[in-house]
Amino acid sequence: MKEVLKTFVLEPALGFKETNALYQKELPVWIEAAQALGLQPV
Amino acid sequence: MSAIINRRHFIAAGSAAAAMPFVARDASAQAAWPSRQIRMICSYPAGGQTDLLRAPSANTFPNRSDRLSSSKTSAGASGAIGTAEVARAEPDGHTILCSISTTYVMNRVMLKTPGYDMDKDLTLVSVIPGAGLPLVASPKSGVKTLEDFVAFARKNDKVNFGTYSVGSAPHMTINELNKQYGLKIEPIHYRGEAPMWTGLAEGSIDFAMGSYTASQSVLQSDRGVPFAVHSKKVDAIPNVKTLPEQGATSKFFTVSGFTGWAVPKATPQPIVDRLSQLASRPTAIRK
Repeated sequence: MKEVLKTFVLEPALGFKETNALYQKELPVWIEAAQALGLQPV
Repeated sequence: MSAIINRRHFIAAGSAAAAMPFVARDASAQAAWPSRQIRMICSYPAGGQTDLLRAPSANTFPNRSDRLSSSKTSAGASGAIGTAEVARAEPDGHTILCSISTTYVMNRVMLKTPGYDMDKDLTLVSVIPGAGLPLVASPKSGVKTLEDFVAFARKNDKVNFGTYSVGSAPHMTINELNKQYGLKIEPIHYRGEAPMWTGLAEGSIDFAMGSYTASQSVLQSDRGVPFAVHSKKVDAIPNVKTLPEQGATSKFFTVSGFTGWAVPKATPQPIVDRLSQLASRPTAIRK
């Protein structure tokens, strides 16, 4: 696992609270950027 | 793929959770967990980054559990097929999804009927934050910074900037740069990173953006010059500044995305907590 993380230049996994805090923080930003593309859902 | 687990590892790890308060129903489910084979489903094609994390992480969970576990790939529809399968699974901690931001965040915007509702059907257990994505220019463009890139784009009617798919982070990056700097860059969408980097190396496109790992093919052969990184610095190219450091202001340049694990929503919290503890300490192999 360590080697895979190192190969892909990734950080270690986050715990439950940090995970969901990251998700809640990034979710609206991703959605806004995606909607700004003006793509029609498929 | 399956692995035989050391029961002592699980009991040692499980004792740390013994002090956690449980609801009576949850206590019963948690005490019995794992009671059968744990399945890990990777909802992206085999061989990609997600699948390369699936295999070692399936070994990570079993190293702390005394049940055989297996993992498989269930690719298709931007990860929606495998995700829907996990969303419908019994919420008992025996089925785990491994997937990426596209599945957890983007599909609700990109797909009419993804087959699952992320917030109602799944619980995120643990994620690995994404790495910074380099923006790379062909050497002949002369671009070495974001300022150079903006000047290039203003000077040239057509800017060939490759992405690895429609709706990807590079696609959104181009859109955000267009908005801030008044540019009109039309992205060229490839199907995957490999053909995109090949396009840059061959001179079919002047710019591309993707993972540092996959960009090695052009960076190491001097057929690409990284001039910015999307959100986070990449240690291997420390002199390349992030887009925000170079004056780009979109909030999108502060997010990194992630790869991670999720379980059905009704999975008892004590089991979610155990899985999260196991996932977030992948190198702490207990003796």
